[in-house]
Amino acid sequence: MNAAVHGFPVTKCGRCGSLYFPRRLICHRCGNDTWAEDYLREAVTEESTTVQHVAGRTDGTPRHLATVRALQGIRLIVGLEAPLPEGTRVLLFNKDGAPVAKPA
Amino acid sequence: MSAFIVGLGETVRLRHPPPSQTTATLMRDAVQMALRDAGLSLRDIDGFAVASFSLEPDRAIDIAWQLGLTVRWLLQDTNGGASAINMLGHAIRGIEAGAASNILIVGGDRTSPADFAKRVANYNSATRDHLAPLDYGGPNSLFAMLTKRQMKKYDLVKSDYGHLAIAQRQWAAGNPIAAYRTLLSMDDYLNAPLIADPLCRFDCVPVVAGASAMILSAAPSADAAANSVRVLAIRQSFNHDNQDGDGLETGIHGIAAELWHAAGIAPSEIDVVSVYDDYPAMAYAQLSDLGFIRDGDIAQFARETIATRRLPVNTGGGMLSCGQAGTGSGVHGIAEVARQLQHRGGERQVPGARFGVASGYGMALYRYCACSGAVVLARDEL
Repeated sequence: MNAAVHGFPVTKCGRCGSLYFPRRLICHRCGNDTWAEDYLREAVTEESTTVQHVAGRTDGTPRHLATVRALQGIRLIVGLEAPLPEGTRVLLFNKDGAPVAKPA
Repeated sequence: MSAFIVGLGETVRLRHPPPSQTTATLMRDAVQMALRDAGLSLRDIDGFAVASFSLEPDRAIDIAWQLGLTVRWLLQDTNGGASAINMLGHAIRGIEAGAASNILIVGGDRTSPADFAKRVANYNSATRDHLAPLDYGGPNSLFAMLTKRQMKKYDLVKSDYGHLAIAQRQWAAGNPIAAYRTLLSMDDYLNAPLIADPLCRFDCVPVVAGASAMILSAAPSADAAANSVRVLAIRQSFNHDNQDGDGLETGIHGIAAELWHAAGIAPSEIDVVSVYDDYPAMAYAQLSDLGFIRDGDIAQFARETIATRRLPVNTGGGMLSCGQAGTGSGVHGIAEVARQLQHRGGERQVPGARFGVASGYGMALYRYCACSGAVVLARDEL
């Protein structure tokens, strides 16, 4: 996670300001199709899971994931370094286009 | 509606298929069974619909060619767990429009572990770009979190999901094509290894090889092996909430009232149900959206209706016991309801079944699935 950059980029409607992730082609709230970039920096964990087994793989390394709700209201699925309790405030980072989080 | 399911064909679900069995040969076997069952020949078929994740580089026309089918209506569907309902919906409208009179619908897959891993990492651009880099492990992780959300929202405990897995295994014991038929206890369920908490091995559908086929016709087949099954109503939903919701309500919620109104019957009159059980939580979500769970009380429904098998749900064992034969699994759900309405359920027959409903749910866009639908079927007494 060292290479990750604080703040996770999402698309922002150029007209009404609605935020989207993953990106959309047309804003379903106002019909606009021009976009700006915005960043989500902080979120709260809602649910998490630890993946213990993946079909077709034998490495057995657990992966920790969580659904988080950014302060702006968008829900993301993020990678974690370790399991976190529900309701934990986290900072969001961009790692190769995928969101990762660590406790604030 | 004037459309009838007149023939069914399903291959035995195989956890370890022989090298000679490919997706195409599994489909061929299911098609031949369905034709025999309907008392029809390939020459009688003038419409063909196929769904599969593992046909590449072939497409629907290639399979039609390899089967020797000459048709005037052709469809290839890519909507995963909703493929079967989608193919059936298009086929019904094709028949009603006069585009074809006997449509063969088939779904099936043989997927290797390597192919499965490749598929789940490249399911769509959102998955490829934002989930695969997290090494998310496929849809189990997404539905593990949805299951936790459902547990919180409806005050459920782990055993509530166990009731469904156990009941479906009891049904599967009477289904000769099911991959898993050994009865399951609650201890077995609660002590099973975790895959992605809270999901254990028995919450996650095992990948199997198999294919299911059915034939939809404009009229009952005089030469069919069993009573035809009449389609009363079908409704579908796609991208119902733009992924803005909590994922616990499927698109079926928005179309259920219209479905039952069009069918002319109520959920209380249904004798047999199939819901797409990729995960127990989503089976409960579909049952709730269809109107089978009163006041949203999933806990009571699980403990009193599923555990006792008072409402026959997934009487073939569902994917939790049959295994997930890719897109063949959705066709299996519809075929199982049809088989029950034909009174050919064997050891698992629901006595006197007259009305049934089957639903589909599939295509995880990011956090949950966006394609769903349901069909209401009736035993045709002619």
